[in-house]
Amino acid sequence: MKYAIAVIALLICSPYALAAPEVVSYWNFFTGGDGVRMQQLVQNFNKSHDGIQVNSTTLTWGTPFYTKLHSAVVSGNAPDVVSYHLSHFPIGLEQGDLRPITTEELNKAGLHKNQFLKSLIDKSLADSKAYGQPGRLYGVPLDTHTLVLYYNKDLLRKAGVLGQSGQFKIQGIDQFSKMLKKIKARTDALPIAFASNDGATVWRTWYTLFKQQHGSLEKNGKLYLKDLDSTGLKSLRAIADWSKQGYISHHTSYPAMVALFVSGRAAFMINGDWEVPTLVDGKKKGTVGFDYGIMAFPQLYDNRDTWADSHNLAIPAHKGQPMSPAKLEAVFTFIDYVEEHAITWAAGGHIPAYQPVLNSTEFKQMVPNNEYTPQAARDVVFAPSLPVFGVGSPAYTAVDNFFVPALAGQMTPKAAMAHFRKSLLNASQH
Amino acid sequence: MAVNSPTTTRAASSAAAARRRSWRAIRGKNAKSALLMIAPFLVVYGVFLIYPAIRVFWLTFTSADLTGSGGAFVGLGNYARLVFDPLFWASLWHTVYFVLLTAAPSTALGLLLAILILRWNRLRPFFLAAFFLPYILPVSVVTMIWAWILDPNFGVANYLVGTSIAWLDNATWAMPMVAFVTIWWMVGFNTVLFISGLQNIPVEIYEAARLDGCGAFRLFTSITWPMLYPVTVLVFTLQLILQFKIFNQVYLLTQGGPYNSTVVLLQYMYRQAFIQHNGGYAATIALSVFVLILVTSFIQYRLLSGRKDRDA
Amino acid sequence: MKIRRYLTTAALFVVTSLLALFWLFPLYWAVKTSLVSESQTIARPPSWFPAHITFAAFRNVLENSPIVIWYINSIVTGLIITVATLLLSAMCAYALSQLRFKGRSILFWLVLAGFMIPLEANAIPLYMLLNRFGLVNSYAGIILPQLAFPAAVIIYKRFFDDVPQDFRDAARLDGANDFRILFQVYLPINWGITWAIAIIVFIVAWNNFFWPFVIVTSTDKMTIPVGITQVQSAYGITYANQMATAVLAAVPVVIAYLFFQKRITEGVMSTTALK
Repeated sequence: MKYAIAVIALLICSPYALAAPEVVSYWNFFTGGDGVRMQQLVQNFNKSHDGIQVNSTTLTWGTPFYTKLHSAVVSGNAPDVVSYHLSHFPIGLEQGDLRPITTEELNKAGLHKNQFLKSLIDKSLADSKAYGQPGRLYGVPLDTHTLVLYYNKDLLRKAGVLGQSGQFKIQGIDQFSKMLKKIKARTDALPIAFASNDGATVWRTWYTLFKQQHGSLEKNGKLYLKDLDSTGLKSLRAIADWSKQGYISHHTSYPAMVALFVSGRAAFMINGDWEVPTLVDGKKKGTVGFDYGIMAFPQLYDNRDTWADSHNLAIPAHKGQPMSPAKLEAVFTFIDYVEEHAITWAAGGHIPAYQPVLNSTEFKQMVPNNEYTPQAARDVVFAPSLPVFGVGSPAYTAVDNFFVPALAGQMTPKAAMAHFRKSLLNASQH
Repeated sequence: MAVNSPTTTRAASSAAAARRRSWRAIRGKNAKSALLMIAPFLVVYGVFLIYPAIRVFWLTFTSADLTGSGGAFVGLGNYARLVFDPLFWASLWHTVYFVLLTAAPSTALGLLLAILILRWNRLRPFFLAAFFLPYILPVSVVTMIWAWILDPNFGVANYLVGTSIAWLDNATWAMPMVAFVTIWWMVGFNTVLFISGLQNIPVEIYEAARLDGCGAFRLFTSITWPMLYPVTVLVFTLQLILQFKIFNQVYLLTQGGPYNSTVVLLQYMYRQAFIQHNGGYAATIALSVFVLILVTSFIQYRLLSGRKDRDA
Repeated sequence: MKIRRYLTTAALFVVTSLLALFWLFPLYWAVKTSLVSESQTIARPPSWFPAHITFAAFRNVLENSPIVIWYINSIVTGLIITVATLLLSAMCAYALSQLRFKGRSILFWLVLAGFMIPLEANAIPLYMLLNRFGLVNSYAGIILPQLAFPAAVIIYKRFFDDVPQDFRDAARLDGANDFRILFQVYLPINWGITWAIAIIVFIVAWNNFFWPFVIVTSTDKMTIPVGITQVQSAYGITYANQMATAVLAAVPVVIAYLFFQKRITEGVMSTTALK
């Protein structure tokens, strides 16, 4: 009995019971270097906001994340706020997973549509029009993230690729391939660390090459497959050829790709900007023992188009049990905080979507982001606005199933492309 | 017929009451405590095992989504789709292939290990622990460890064998490797069952046979094997039923790849139900797993009862 | 003749030992990887023994992942499942074994038939059912479907069948009802098998991946086997961290095994009662 009283007394007197903060559950999929920055943002937010407690949960990126989210929405267990890919909006809106955000709600939180990069808002609103409620936003954009080229200066120097001032240029696919050949011949290192087993990496790279040759997968809001047989196949052949020549790592998972580059065994790495903190922190801790550089993805064909996507903060649908006004306010307070402090997020490698931060001197002078951001921001091209595409989409599955084996030499690029085309067609019909 | 007259109802109910009374008179005490003792199990069993099994069957005729709502009656539509779905047939074959690679080999290996372990006295607990330890590990621990060992770039397996094979990303190797990992994980269970079976064979029989001049091989074929038959059938059919339910190792090691070459039935069901939200179609795939297990159980029953007939 | 037998024994010893080493090697390798620095994990040639032992990976996992919460979830759900399964099965088995009532044989066959119904194939209607009662992503949702464990009923029944009838008759004469007979006579007599079943049920529940994986949507409700696969850091090189996670997830069951080795073996052997 004494214990019981003591416990009750403790409960009553604890600051938890006194303050009863609004608990906001936040789901994200940031497991890479950017995850550490997001953790930092959440911690700082919690420290500076007494009445709100954000509990962040990190789930496996891609299909597993969106599967769990959908089943949480369906079962009425949805979290209060989530990270969400711009490219997943078509699927998510079609499934009714998200709650629309009104302009008033946004303004009340101190945010305005025109504070965000116009291209991102436009794309988002186009998705709303096609798959959700027109004119409503379903997410607040946090960043643009894009494919970049990481390089190991020490290895490039050793291969004689670097000029006297430590500079080098990539001009077109043939010249780049020659450079890779040189690296392979003159060093015992791998020319490119590449996650050849990871559908997402293969898709980003293939889509970039495809778009650099004016390829298109969408016409008038409909799936368009004609370019696949020409530029689509040519792009796949280019990567398969690198694989055949041993320029890119074979059978490599995403973590193995990072490990190969970080341990100094590869001259280049084709990967998203989110691994920037891995290198920055690694250099600081002394685990990265070489000089690295990061550049916008080079122009290998006719233009500079480069795959990109955007992380948004979105509010899942709460069917039957709408969020309380207090909770909603807490969620928007958090969203506003993250946007205002997007400089921390930018240190995760991404390009902020919030223009006050994007245009700040602090961001413009940020190292090493300033090596690639000015160019990369201009080159971005997004996935087509169709539910067949995007993170966790049938297109990703098809890339996993057909492009990955084509790189491994288990299937000809031509057969892989035929299968890919058929999968997209099937998926768009169901 | 259409309307029950009051008299017939009353007559029927009084007849039922009389039957209840007489039943109670005979089994009264037993029935009451039996009901109380069975009820909790029966409720759980009925609600969470029997009812869902019946519901699966019903769902196959609908286009229900994951919540069970929006389920229009589609007749045999799901079955028609199943028959013409190449990925269904592929996953059926992958499941059977996996069972072929695991059930019989792990039974045979279990027996072999049991015989080897029983030869030692003082080292027996150590050897038994070595083979049994993996079995008690969670499947995800097992797959994490093996994914690391089999990593194509940094794994120790390629280093030891002197190859650079992507064991789990190669259509030829992926399924055999999943099977191999499964056997490594589970064989200890079979070994323990065989040890128990072998220990139940009276030593005197061996001694008598040895006096008759039987060699080791003869001893095995004419004593061990026949005496061990029921245990062998048990182990083998438990393996069959267990392996037909393959999902975890495939999901965790290969995700069904490369290019769907390792997708198995339950995984295809999972995809259709929880990723594509086709509850009705997924139930149809689930039903095929039921059928496979039903057939296996029937074979088990036949094997064991057939044996008893011969003994008699 | 003597030499030949000696040689056979030696050869068999070598074979058994090599097999045992082969079986233990992956476990050793996981522990070894978890104890070195990340850059060491990918060194070529690999070192067979850890040169500089560091617990950095363990510290990182314990500090930065919800693994402690997953432990608690696994322990709580595992214990509830074990105790509830034992109670339900023992009562049902007692009734089946000792009481004569209408529908007894039908019930017995029904329990046997339950063997052929895998939880996995029931996943879709179970999910729908639990969803309707708001039990998705809850302990109850994890636990309830795992309680229907027909094997426990059948094993218990086999053992209760073997209890001499005199025990029950004597207790009956003393005026004990069936519940008291079960808990004061039948269970104490079969303490060994209760332990065995308990351990098996606990291990099965602890190791269950599929069901918690399907029914749990948020990390704070995940059990150990699910959690460690759903939340993986990809920050830099992570092999030591992954193996530290695996080792931490394995430690409780390994310790339990070392303590209860005999009981566990008996538990597995009790499965032969199913034939």
